[in-house]
Amino acid sequence: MGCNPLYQQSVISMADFSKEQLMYVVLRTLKLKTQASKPLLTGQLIASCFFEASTRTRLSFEAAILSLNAQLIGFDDSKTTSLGQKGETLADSCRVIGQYADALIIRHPCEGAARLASECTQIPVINAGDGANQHPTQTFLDLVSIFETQQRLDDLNIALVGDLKYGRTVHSLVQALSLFGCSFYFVSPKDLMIPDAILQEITQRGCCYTCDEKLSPEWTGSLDILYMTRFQAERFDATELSYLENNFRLSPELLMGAKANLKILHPLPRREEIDLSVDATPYAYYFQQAQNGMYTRQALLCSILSEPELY
Amino acid sequence: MQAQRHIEAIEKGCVIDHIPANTGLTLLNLFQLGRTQTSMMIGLNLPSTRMGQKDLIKINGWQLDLLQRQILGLFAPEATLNVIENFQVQEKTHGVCPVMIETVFQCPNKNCITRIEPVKTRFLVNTNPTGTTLKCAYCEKTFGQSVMKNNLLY
Repeated sequence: MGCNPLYQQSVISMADFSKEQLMYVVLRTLKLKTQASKPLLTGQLIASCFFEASTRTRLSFEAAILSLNAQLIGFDDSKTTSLGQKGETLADSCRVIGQYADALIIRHPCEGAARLASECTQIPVINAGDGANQHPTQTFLDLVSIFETQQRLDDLNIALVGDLKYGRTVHSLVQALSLFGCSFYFVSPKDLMIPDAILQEITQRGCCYTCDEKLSPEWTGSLDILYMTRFQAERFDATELSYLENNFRLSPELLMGAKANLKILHPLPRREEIDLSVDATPYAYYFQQAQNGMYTRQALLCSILSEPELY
Repeated sequence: MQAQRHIEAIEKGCVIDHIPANTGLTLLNLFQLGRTQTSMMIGLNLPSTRMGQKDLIKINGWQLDLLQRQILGLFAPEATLNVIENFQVQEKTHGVCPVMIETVFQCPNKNCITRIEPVKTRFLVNTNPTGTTLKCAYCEKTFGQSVMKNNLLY
């Protein structure tokens, strides 16, 4: 596979990664997934600093760290910290934490917080989510899941459905897949369309796309990946939410004529956007996708912390 | 009557000509020269053969520094910057359109980390046929010039 291009690099935004670096992480993840015991980070200390509530991402990182035999320090509630109680700046907090740990994982409600953290410390920083901006480890695990099911990332037909305007996972995934020449079908209500800036970016990379306001079976026959997203309940009143979830719900009828290799992904948690009967179809892959989260985070930690020659 | 006769000549300094009309005051604000003792003259909506109407700024005893040239390059790339010595034009050039610009603007995104942390703002400049945009290096959001004009840090 060649040398490790991520050694001592921070993982802040998908915009920072080349196609080769993305593939490196994907292949390393799939290789790690086959290994039963992997004490690859013995002696390393990782700081996990969650300034914003998270259960699945945080636990996934903790599982990854412990399974690699590394040690963990940190917090999941900034109110108990100097930053929360004494008004210490994030920059100062990161400078201090960087003296203790070998890597820093940070989730923060403000966009750009992880980028700032990476500028304030010498150790690599992993962005576990910065406001509405990026969630790169989610995108990496999405890429792993896509590759796992399609055996490639190049030239795929990908549909993304739901809240495409505010969904950070959608933006990051489209950014990443556009490096591989994929074609995109964006299905969303008119007010929640994919932002123009993203469309311009993928057009500049030579990717084709179609926008639609309706789920229909006509296009499922050409898809390789169908990526469903949740409408964020906090943005809508109950009536609007119910309308959106009913009109953009994926049901088995919409999958008639789907290709055998089609896989349905979802970053979870889900609400009503996937009919429960879809779970039993061979197309559903969202729970396997969630499991890939731990392996992907293992791969990222190993990549940024392992000496190049050990891989 | 030539446009230049509306404003008297200067012995030493700079003249910024061919500023699009209604941009001159914005530029002066961005240059931050209004709070200094620098002597300057501004002409607004002057007749122009080339542009129909233009603004013009003459600054006595002052040359634009690099940041001011970058601001000129961003907001009036078509303007001509004349360096004056002994009442003569020594050099004719344009503003410098930067790849990146620091400190001048605050991020319009209220949830950007730069709004609550003491950090220099940094914007990546992208110029294309549809216009110039500035992308915050931190929150990665992109903004047009018209939005940025209203988000000066000073």
